[in-house]
Amino acid sequence: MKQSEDLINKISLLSEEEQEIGKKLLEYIDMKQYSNSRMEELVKSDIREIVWKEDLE
Amino acid sequence: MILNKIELSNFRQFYGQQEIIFAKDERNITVILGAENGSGKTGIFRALIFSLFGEVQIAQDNPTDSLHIVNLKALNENDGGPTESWVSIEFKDGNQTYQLKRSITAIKRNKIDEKISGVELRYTDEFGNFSPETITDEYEIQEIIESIITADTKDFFFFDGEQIDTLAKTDSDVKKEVKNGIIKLLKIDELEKAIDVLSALSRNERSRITSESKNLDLTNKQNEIETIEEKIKELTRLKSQRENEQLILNNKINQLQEDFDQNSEVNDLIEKRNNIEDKVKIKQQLVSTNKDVIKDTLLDHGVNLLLSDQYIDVNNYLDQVAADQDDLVSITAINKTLNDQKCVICGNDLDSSKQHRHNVELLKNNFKSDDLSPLIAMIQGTITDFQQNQNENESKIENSLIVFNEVKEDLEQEKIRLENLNNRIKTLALTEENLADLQEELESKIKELGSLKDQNYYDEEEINRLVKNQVKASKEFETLMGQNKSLKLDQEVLKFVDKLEDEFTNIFGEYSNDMRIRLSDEATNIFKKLISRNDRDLISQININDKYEIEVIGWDGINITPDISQGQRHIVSLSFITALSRVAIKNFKDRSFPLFMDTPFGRISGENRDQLINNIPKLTSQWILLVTDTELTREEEKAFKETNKLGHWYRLNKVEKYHSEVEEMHVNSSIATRG
Repeated sequence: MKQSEDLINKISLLSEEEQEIGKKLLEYIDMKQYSNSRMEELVKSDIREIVWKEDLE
Repeated sequence: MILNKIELSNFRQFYGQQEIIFAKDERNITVILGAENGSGKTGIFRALIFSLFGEVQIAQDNPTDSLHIVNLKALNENDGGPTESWVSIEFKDGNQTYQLKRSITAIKRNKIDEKISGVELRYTDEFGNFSPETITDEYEIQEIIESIITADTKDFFFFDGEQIDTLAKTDSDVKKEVKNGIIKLLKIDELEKAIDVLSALSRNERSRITSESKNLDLTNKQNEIETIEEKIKELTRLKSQRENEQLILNNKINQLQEDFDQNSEVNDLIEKRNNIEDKVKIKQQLVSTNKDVIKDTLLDHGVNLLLSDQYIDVNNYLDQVAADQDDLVSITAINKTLNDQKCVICGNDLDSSKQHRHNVELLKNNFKSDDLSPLIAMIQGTITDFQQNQNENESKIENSLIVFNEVKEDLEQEKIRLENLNNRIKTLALTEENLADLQEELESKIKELGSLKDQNYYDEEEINRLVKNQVKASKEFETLMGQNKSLKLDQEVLKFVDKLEDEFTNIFGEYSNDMRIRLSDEATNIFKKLISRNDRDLISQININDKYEIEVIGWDGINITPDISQGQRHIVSLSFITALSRVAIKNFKDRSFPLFMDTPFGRISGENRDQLINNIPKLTSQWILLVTDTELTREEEKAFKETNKLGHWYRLNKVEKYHSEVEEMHVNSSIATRG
């Protein structure tokens, strides 16, 4: 993924979890392999995982 | 992206196989001279676009024209049988080198049919070796090329110099193109897409949770949110449509205002024309008076004037005739002498000399009257009268003629002026009636624009109000959801999605703002380097505004985009493109873009050409120029050589019709043929 340093800097100001999801989402977009609905599914499951983990902790 | 080389086989004018190696690194200028028409200058440009994107047409083509790619000489030699043409390019992007080859096959029967017959891409592995595998899937290749240079942004780097100035024009299509270029090249579009995905996810999640929960309150709240969202969406769509209308209306108003100004110029011209017409009338009267004077004088004296030389002879002759008469002394004189008793001729007193009286009486008795005498007296009297007034009449006619000529000449001049004025009026405009219509239209458009602006203001207020309601309803939705323990996980996920969407929206705003500012500064710096000294102070800033439009700001801080010259527009566009690639390079360290220009100097003046030749090689990684002989005179050749950046020097030779060849020249050799 070729993101600009500036953009990466701005994203790095987000919370760790948000960064993780945000970067993944941008990667899905960059790969151009997924339809929008598939990307929604992927992001949702990524977020669920984080929320689960937090809940367990 | 750095272009290494291009190979062509039977492509357009190029018969057989030809190769061009592109200059890079320290000496990064490649000049390709196509002096003759039809030598294939644009064919090289077309070959590059064809190989990268499979496009046969380029921006400068008339879309309705059909053109053939396969070389016609080769096709004819093959008796119209299947003949293949191909273009292969080699380029580097990041650490990888790519080889892309695209072929097209033609068959000639009644007409020529062409079909793209294959595409192959190979690239190097991490050790710099070409992979043995060749990618032949068009879609896959397109994906790879798009990740390097998108078809949307290619026009910024591969372009026709004669059309590039359109970038700095003010119409709506161009603005869209500029916006698109910036967004794609700086990858802001990916961020935009991420926001879209998150927003859709949030919406769909809400709907799903609501329908699964079977909770009436939650369903109602969700419906309320959806209604608000629909309204916001519709209002935003209307607002953007109205903004577009505003843009069109603004252009129309400018155009009408221009027409109107031109027509007020017409009013001045009409007034001028009326004055001239009055003058013409007076002069025409003067001409006619003079004509009358000449006519009358000629009628009265013309015959005499014609005969003036004859009159001298006639007078002499008549004197002789009179002398031959017996009546040397007239009967009147004789009678008067006898009555007065004093000779009317010599003054002798008859009373004192009987002899004298007798002589006179003898004369009277002997007097024999002659019929010719009164006629001779009359003619001679007329001739004398004429001779006495001859000079006066002659100068009267001469003076009248002089005045007549002068006035006539003036009149001709005035008539020419009148004709010119009439032509100018015709080209400018319109009758007074139309002028009134124009003014009316202008006023109505200004009113229309005002009401559009008002409407947009109200829409914006309404959107703000709806957004507040939406936030409130969303909070209420969350509270309702919070009361339902089984939805806890879903609620957390939704919160996360919404928060991330907000964060991304903020990042998008900040990032695109930063990029615009950086782009504006970079474009201004480059512009100052490229523009001639004289114009440098006239333009203070190239600005990319929040709607991604290029604005040119004058020395006094006023937006002068519509008023700059074509040459300046060209340099503004070049500065913007170069700035765009530099900003992109800074952001994505392994990115670089060649500047490939067909007819680069078209409207650019001498000093500005020198500025470009000196500075562009320092600003871009690779500069490839396709030039005509009028663009590459000895002056430009000298300037190129002085940069010490000239890497490759090519000449396209037209051998015969449908047969051009590429000839590489030594960089020190002389190539320009003009100036």
